[in-house]
Amino acid sequence: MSRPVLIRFILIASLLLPASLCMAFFWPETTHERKTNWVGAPGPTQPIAFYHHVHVNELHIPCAYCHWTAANSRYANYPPVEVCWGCHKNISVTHPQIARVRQYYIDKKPIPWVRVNQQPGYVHFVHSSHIGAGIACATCHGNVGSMYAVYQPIEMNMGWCISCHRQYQKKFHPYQASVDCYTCHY
Amino acid sequence: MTEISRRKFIQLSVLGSAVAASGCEIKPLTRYQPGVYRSEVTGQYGGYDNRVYPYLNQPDGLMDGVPQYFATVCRMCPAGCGLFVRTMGGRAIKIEGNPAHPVNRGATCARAQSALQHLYNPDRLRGPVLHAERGAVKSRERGNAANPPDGRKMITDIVSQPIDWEAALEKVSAGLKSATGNIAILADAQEFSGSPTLGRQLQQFAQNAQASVFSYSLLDDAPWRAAAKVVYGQDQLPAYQLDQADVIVSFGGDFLEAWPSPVFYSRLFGEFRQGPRRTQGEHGKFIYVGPRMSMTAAKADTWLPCNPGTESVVAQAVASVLQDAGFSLVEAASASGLSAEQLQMLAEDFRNGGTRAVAVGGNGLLTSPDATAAFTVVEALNKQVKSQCVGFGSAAIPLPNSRASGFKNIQQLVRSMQSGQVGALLILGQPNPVFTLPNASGFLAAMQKVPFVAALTPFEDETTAWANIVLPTRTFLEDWGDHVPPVIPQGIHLATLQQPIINPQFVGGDGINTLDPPASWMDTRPLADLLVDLAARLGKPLTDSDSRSAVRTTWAKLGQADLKSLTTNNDPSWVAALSKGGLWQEVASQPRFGGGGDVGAGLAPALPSASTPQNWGGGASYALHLYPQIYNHDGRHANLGWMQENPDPMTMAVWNSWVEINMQVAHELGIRTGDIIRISSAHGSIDVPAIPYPGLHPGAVAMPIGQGHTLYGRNAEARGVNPLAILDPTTDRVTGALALGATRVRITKIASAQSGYQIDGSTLILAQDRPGGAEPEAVKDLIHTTAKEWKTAKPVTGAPKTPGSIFNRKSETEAPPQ
Repeated sequence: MSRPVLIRFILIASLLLPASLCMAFFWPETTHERKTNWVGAPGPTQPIAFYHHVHVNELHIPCAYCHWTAANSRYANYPPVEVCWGCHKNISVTHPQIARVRQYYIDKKPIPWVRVNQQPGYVHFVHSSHIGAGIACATCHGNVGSMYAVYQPIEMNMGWCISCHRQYQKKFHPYQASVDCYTCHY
Repeated sequence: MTEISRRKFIQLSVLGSAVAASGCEIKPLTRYQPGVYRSEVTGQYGGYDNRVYPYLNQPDGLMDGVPQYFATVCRMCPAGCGLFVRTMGGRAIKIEGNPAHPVNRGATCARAQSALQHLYNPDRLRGPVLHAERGAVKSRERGNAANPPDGRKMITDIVSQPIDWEAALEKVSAGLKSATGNIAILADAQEFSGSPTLGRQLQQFAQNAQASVFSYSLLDDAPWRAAAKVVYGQDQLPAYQLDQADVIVSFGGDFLEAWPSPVFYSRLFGEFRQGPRRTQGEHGKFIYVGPRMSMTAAKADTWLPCNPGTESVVAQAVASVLQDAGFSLVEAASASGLSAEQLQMLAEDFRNGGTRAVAVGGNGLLTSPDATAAFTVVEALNKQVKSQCVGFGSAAIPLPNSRASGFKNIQQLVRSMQSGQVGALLILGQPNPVFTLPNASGFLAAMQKVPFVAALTPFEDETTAWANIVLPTRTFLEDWGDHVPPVIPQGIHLATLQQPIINPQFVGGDGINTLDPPASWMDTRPLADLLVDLAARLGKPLTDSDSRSAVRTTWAKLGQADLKSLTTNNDPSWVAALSKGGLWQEVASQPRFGGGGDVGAGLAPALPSASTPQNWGGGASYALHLYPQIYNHDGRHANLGWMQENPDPMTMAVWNSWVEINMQVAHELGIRTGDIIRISSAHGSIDVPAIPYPGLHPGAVAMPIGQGHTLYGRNAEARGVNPLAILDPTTDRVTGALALGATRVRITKIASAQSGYQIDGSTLILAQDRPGGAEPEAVKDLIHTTAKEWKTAKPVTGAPKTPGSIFNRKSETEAPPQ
């Protein structure tokens, strides 16, 4: 490498590296970041710092223990406060966050969770048919079990839905995914 | 660029950092507030709330996103169809028929569908209110009602103050105590006479409080029941099994419309036209006798437009032909306005039906002062041919309360109030006599003499405006109850259960960023619970503690062996009865013609004699033919937007009332569609838009009942006019029921139709005018005739030439293109 070329390379690299580092650090990655342009906090602040990581990855509680209607209903439920109380009546009662959960239950107030995953009003998404077809929760929601604050790693837009539905649309495919507009937009 | 100077380097560095900096400064400030996540205060997709509030304790069996269905009974009209109500998250969202219920077999009518608007009505009372001044009003100058012909005050805005329940109940009990011995209870007959439990509660309350009960609602089946008692020996409305019939002759009975059981008869009528008895191409024969072509008449094969009030004459003529009695067909023909040949053919058609012929009575017979006699003559026809299409079911629970004629009851109440014998009046339900009674009955003036009036009702209406205090009750979708329909299908043993579908204690708060303790936004109480509470405050408690236990007490007394154990808690048979919707089973058919005596000679009405000419051909005065409208019923559904928006099946009119005038008569008088007509009787006048109507006797003008409210919520107020106000208080000679068609009126055109929509409510809106709007097949010709007359009409002289106005259509279309 001749000297002028080397100088030029070093100069350009010295310009681009901090710029790209800067970009990488401030570029929104999660849906929440894109929508809010609040980069650095991947998900919204919840009223309680609930750690999915602790409950799923460490304690191996299955998703359906709390979100049990996903298999039978179009919605996957937010667990009623009594479900939190069921364990934390006795477990870790001194932890400050858990004390807050307990206080909600004792005060008979629902916990005002901030919604993370949401489709627009003109999309009718049905959980039960996807669970029934054997689609894992993580296919759409990402690896929630390793998250602390829940965020949306996959922006669930229509192109993304359709790519999967096309793949499973093939005749005789056991999932028989539909690509009809009226499947979701009605 | 082999050499880069120091200056150049600095320039490039600054540029680069500027680009890098702007890369993370793309946030437009409008998209978020510093320190607040946008998604925390608004939905990501533009909703107002991104919070999710889970249940504290999830109710058993409730799953988000999965509907639950509850069986109950429809109380929107007396018919009492069984319902299945779909609920999501504890809220009723859709109403359909109970497929197993013997009355409706899964079908519903528009009234049941719109019961949701009854439940979620924005004008419902949300808590007890105290009226600082009885009937205190601010007149809003809207429509014809601004100058009511009767001098009645325009009631649109009551001076009312909310008070809490404890104070309200204390006030009512104090008011009742102060008038001990002089308490009158005005009960809604529709609500109380159909419900065994509520009726029993009321009876016991009245007994304990030493009060006298006056049961009233406008549509009154007393003459019909009196006739059934004479002819069949049953104090109950007959159920016409139209599906078994080959020939139906309806004497003014609009059985497919408002009353008494439209869904039941619509179902059977469908069977009559297309059921298993109909071979290829055979439709059965349906003949309608009556002055107006109603929706039911439009479905008949033959419509015989007899003179108003002479349906019974036609029935008598048929009876005499069947018996070969010496009844002069010519005389009957001249009285009824039909030809002797028509009467002869009608009688022969009826005879050809044999035992498969059925004569049907209905609201058309209520119009005359000989209502009981007319019903008797019509029912006697069935007896004469031994029709097997008339049957009776049996009530599984006997109805306890008095079932005298409502109008007779209320006249008695008016007399007591006028003479000052009533110290306190308790209005239960929605009888709304100020609206439904003729002004000439003097109810309002008499009511003003009562020192203390309390109303227990879900809605403010014209009557409750004159109460001292109003306690809001729950609608039938929020309350326990039971019901026995007035028309029980033949051979069915029936009682229906009513259970609360939703928890009426709506929780308040804006739900976004406050977590205030839940406050009841809708704080109403069941009517039966209020009776229990009031009785306890009067020191004479009722035996049942609340509405649920009262229903269970009633149902524990059922005679059936399989339902004997209903009283224990969580009993499977009680749960089964609830989930089924009630109790019904096939029983041996009741004897149809046993027990009844012969038709009383004195009951048969005399023929109108030739010496009293009725001027049926027109002239100065017309018979005012009032009919209960299919959607508004007796006026209690005028506050439902869906009912207002639903076009009348014959005229396609919406959001207003109208008067139908025979087309020929209208032509002679220069009346066109939408012109404002003044209808004057001896008791006042009303101004109402006209519809020239081909299917009407020239001697009559017809108006629907139900519009013209002055105080009944935003959808009902100042819509149309109330024809009941100018009615003659003529009554049926036997039972004292109000005759809806015995009033003679004069008509005068007072204004031509104005172009555009007038805010005063005088504009007639016909839904058929909507381009491409579908017309019902049955009335197509009729509508087209009306529309043609309208379209060929000349533009109204002097009317402003508003572009697009329906009244200037002709001139617009003919104008040469500029």
